[in-house]
Amino acid sequence: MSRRRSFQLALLLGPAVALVGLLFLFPLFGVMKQSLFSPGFTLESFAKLVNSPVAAIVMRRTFVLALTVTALCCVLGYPLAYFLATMSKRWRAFFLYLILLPFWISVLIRTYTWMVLLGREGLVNNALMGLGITDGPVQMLFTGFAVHLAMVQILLPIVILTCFASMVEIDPQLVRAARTLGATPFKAFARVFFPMSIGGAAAGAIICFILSLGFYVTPALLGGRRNIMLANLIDFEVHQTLNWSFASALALVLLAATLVLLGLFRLVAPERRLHG
Amino acid sequence: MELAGNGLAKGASVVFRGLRQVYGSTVALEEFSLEVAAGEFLTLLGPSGSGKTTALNALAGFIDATSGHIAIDGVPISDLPTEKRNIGMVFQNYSLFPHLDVLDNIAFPLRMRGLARRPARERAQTALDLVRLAEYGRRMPHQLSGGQKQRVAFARAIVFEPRVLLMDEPLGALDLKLREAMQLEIKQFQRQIGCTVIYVTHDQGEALTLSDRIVVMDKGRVLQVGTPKEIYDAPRTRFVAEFIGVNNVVPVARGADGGWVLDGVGPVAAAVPAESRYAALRPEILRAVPGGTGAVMGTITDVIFLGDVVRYAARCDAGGSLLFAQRREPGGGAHPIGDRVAFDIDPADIVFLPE
Repeated sequence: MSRRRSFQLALLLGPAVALVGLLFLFPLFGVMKQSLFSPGFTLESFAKLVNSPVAAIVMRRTFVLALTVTALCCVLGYPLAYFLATMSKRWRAFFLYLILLPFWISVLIRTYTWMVLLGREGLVNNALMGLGITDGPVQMLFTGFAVHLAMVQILLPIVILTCFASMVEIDPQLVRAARTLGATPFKAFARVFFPMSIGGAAAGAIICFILSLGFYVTPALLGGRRNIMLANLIDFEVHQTLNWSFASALALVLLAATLVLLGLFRLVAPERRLHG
Repeated sequence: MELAGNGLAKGASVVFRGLRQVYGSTVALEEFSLEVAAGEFLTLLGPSGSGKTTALNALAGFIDATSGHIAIDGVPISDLPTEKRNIGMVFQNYSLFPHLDVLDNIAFPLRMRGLARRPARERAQTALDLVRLAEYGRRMPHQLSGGQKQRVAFARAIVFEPRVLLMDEPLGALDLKLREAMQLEIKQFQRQIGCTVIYVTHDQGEALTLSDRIVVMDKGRVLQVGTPKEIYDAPRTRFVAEFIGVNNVVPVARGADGGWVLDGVGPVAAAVPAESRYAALRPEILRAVPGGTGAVMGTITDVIFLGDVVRYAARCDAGGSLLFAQRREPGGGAHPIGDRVAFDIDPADIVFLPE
């Protein structure tokens, strides 16, 4: 590489590298140090993490929630993406717009909207009582149901769009070819379209899962005290108990889980295989 | 089920009757009737928009023709879905499944017919041997060259012994040299397996090389059906005369003395059918005599060196221009631009066209 070229590279990459280093990596090292030194090297926080029943419960709950939300997003999102990828181009733009619309509204606002909808005096309860389906208000806010519902609504566009992106890459001629070779419409889908789109679906699922793991606002506002997630626990340890060392250890667990998943993501989505 | 290559597999006849396909206000196919004999290699030839791919898609079941019907071996197939028609198809872009290796691609139609993976792959290997890619079974499609992909697509389309094989511009994406080599191979493969082939192309040279019969199409209509020789030697319309090979097409009219005149060329002594409007003169029927004298004289304006043949463009004294060709003697030269030539035309070689 010529000197001039390296200079150009440094100029182009420099600001981004500096920003990531200064505002992300540096604080991250701080967090690591926080969890391992107090003030001398100690594994006390990690020992507490392993022994603490609260941490275990919250971690399990967080992973189960992330898994459920991801599964729901895939089950709902994949058919929608298929629908989008196979429809005429003109309608596709319209429906994509509809899917993206809520995506442009902040998560906080969407969460508040769910509070308005699901509250005791909310739209849903008023409708249920007005129609005579229930006598009294149904407890929806501050339940796991509300958290699931809102998170699926927030994350669904991401899954739809990643699935869609891989589906529009699939040559429709391949499905036709499968038909001439004796495949019924279902088999042509199952043996050709599905395996070719599964990479995109897996990518969407992993992104969805990673984002779910770190969800904070939605469980905090819609889940109530019984639905505390990992991010909320970290916040609690930072703000309420001031146990920063323990909070840092929790944060590192979250980070490690995310990195492992990203590694998995590289394994399930080998680009060469998908777009030969 | 025996694998193709043993001469047992035989093609089926295909009959199109009054097929018509309309998209909105455009007619893609009009009154398309055709009988394809069992084991025949038939080519649908025409420019884009001529309806040839529409006819193929109707046979494959990708579209429902607006009206008309199709039968294979006398059995109507219009109500059968694509997968029940037992038709092999090779696409221009090969359409190999990118997530399956070569053997699984070829085994796909066998798997769809209920064969287990191992025997399916074994038979796929036999088909792969036929197209001379025996060693390539475990490659992924993206690891193959264009010609190799084409052969795999061919193997996949014939491994289940379809009685009709459709090929939609299968060589369109290959370069010229490879295309010519593949034409010969396709012809050989077809002779070995004996199935009926319906081949779609816009390349007239390819059609002449491969076909038992050619169907020339334009704007959704069949213009002429015939053997390559018939189509080449006796075109019935101006479009066919100009589309196939190189041709001089000139208007004919009655001269002042009541005799027939080739416009811009000269009088013609042939017995001209009354309704003739054009005359087609192949370059090779024009015998040009350098330095000679005759009824039709011209001056060479261009020399196109083709190797075995030299093609010339000449301006006739009457104002029209003619292409003529001369076989080149080994090591011989060509006439220079500006040379005078006399044309000696055998009237029996001229093809008169009513439209």
